[in-house]
Order: sequence, then structure tokens, then C-alpha cells
Amino acid sequence: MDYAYQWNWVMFGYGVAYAALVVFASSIAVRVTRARRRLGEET
Amino acid sequence: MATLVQKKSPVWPWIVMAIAGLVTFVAAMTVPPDAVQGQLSRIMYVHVPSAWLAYLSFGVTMIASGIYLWKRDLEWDRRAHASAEIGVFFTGLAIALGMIWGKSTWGTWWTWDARLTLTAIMFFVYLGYLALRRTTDDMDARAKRAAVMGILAIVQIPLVHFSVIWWQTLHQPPSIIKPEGPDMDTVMVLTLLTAVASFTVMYIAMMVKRVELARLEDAVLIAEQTNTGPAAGEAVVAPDLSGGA
Amino acid sequence: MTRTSFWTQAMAITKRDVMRERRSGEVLWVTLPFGAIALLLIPIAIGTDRPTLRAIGVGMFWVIVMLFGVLIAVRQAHTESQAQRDVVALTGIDPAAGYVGRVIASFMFLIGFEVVLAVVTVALYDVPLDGWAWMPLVMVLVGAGLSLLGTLAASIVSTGRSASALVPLLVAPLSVPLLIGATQTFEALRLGRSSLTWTLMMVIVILLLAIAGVMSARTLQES
Repeated sequence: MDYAYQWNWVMFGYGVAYAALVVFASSIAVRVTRARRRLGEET
Repeated sequence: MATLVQKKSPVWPWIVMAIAGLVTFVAAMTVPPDAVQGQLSRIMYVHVPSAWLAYLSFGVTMIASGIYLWKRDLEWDRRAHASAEIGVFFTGLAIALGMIWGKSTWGTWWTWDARLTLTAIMFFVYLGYLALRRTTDDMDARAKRAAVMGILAIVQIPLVHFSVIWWQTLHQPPSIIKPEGPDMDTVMVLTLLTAVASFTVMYIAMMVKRVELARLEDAVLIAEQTNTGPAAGEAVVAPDLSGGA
Repeated sequence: MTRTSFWTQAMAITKRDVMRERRSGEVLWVTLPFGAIALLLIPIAIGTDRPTLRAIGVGMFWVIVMLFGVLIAVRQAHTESQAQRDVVALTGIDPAAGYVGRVIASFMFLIGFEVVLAVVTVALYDVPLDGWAWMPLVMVLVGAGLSLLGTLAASIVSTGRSASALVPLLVAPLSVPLLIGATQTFEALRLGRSSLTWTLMMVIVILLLAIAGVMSARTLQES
């Protein structure tokens, strides 16, 4: 079996998955920070 | 409003998410490869948990919507919203990983497999749910409409599911070998269960943060609606009464 | 004190919608031509050879009915202002009767829409007329399902921002069982199989949507 070729696909899949997870989690973090900052300004 | 904003933003969910992600990764990379699929079977350890979380999230959205309609407590509406957003994310991820897997295993990005079609439809249904939530700033109206949609979406899922399955089975018999067949190795089953469990923990941590965000967004909305402030601010200047002299 | 019955109230709403359509002519002069143009555009894009058009004709007809028929149910999202809604609510009309009344009006318009587009499809695509006897039944089922679903989605979205664009987004994915039911009925007939399963499936979808619409009517009126 051609392992190198298979590992490329596996790494591609995990790259996509973990990059997406990091982006999604960061988007929550960014929105939380932004909302807190706005609340700080309002009061 | 004081109840909406916690003094300190909890940090532990981030740590939990990172650990859960790491556990899944290590488990998926150390498990022996599948006899038929080879290394490609490793994609399954993120694909299956993502798909599981998609269903779990939408289930939670439906339950939270129902409790909201019963109790009329906006906290449940926020939970429904948070879960739907996480669900849309994992549905998208499950589809993307399924496509990568499909391309690598049988050489095509998309097959009109019943489950794949259903997942794609589900993705758009909940995208519509999220879009619906953006149409009004009236929190109670938004919560009621979203709750009806959250329940309607789930009621329709079995119908879509069966219609798609019948549509497929009457024409082309399933020609794809399902990798998660019954004859899976025990180590692989355990790894898969580990991955599903850690993704579920990740979901809980994400929910904590996302619900916190929903509370903050509502607090911002309330602050904007009650704090009227100047209508045009700097743009308004006192009329010049000097007659241009 | 006399209480007007549920159906009297529903018919009053239907009459109001029909009168509004007679005045504005939105379905007749806007949505219908739009659907017909769509049927005209498809062959221009994919090629006009007869076998291809014959093969895709029936399917295209149903897709256009689903996607453009939704616009008929969307009418209320942008023709009814919040003030009008409030007046209707204050008259004490049962919200469920209001829903049923709107559905009946949309259903009638949809049937007209389907009939005209069917004629256009037969003319432009030269579709084989196998199983045409089933056409009225399937048209009624699709019309009923789509008007129930569209009216429900329109009342969920209400008069919010970007309402007229959002209703089609909510309806399109949920109309899949209707689309499959309609197209597969004719596919089954073409292959000489029984199409009863598909008819039954559409009936179940319709019943479920009717229950959902009536049950959620009060909650949605409050919002």
C-alpha cells in the first residue's frame, strides 16, 4: 500500500479539521472580548 | 443586566478544548491502521465525532427551544442559539472531512449517498435558523420565532431523512463499502469512542463560552436600547446666531 | 354574544388575500412571468437538443415550482405591515384561523401557478405525457405542502429584516420531501412501479405541516 500518499490525505484532513476548530474557537474569543469592551464603554 | 455579565471570563473551557483536541489527535495517530482502508481510516476519528456533535447540537437546540416556549426564560433561548451555531460548524466540518475522505478513498468529492445528502440539507436548515435570528433585535420576538423554527427543523429531519433514503434505495443500491462496518477491530472501536467522548467534552466547553457570548451580546443589545445617547453627536453644532459677522 | 366560527374567520382572511391579489396582481403579473422566464432560461444555458430537454423537463418543472412558488407564500412577509398585523390580532381572529386562511389563499394561487407553468413546460420541453392523469393529484399535494410550509415560514420570519429573502432560504431545504415525492411519483410511473408510497409520504408531510402551523400560530402572533 502506498503509505506516503495516504498520509498526505490524513494530514490534509487533520489540517483542515484543526485549523477550522482553532478559527471557530478564536471567533468566539474575539466576539467575547469585543462585547466586553463595548459594555465597558457603555457603562 | 448584572446577571448577564460575569465578572471574569472563564478560562478553563479553552484549556479543556485544547486537551480534548490533543487527546483525539494522539489517539487517532497512534492507533494501528485499518486492514482495508490503511492510513486513510484515521480521518474517521475526526469525521465521526463531528457528525455526532452535529446531531447532538441540533438535538440540544430543539430541547432548549421547547423549554424556552414552556418557561419563557431567555437563558434557554441563548442555549438553543449557542448550540445551533456550534452544530452548524460541526455539520460543515463533518461534510468537509467526509468529502476529503471520499476523494481519497473512492476518488470523488461527492456521492449522492443518502446520509451525505441529508447532512447537507441539515446544514442549510440551521443556517436558515441562524439567519432568522439576525432579522430582529426584539429579544422576546426573536426567541419565540427561533424556538418555533428550532422545533420545526427537527420535526422535518426524519421526513427529509426517509424521503432521501427511499429516493436513493429505489434507484441505485448502496455501492459504497461503509468503513464503519460491524467487523471493526476492538482497538479501533475504543479509539473511536475516545474521540467521540473527547469531542463531546469539547462541545460542552464550547457551549460554556458560546452561551457566555450570547449573554454578552444580549447585554450589549440592552445597553444600546436603553442608553439613547446623542442622536448625531459631533455632527450637531449650535446654530450660528452672529449673522456671519 | 355571537362568536364567529373558525372557518368563517379563515375564509375572511382568504377573501382579504384574494382581494389584495386582485388589486396588486403580484402573483399573476410578477411571480408567474418570473417562473416562466426561468423555464425559458434553462434550455438556453444547457443546450436545446430535444432528448436532453425531454429528460429534464419534468424535474425542472418541479424545481421551478418549488423555488418560485415560495415567492407566492412570501407575499405576506412584505405586504403586511406590523400595524396591519396588530389590527388583525386586535379583532380577535383566532391566529390558527388566520394561518389557515392565508394557506388557502396561497394554495389557490399556487395551483394556478402550477397549471400555467405545466403548460409552458409541455410546450418548451416537449415532455412525454406519461402518467398525466396523476398530475392533478400531485399538483394539489405539492400546492398544499408548499403553501403550508411557505406560510409557516413567512409567519416565523414575520416582518423582520430581509424577510422576503429569508423565507425562501427556510423553505427550500425543508421542501425536499415534497420535491422528491413529486418527481419520484412520475419516475415510478415511468418505470411501471406503484407511486403510492410517494403519495403517502407527501400526505404525511402535509399533515405534519398543518399541525405545526396551527399549533405555533398563537406563539408566533405574540412575537
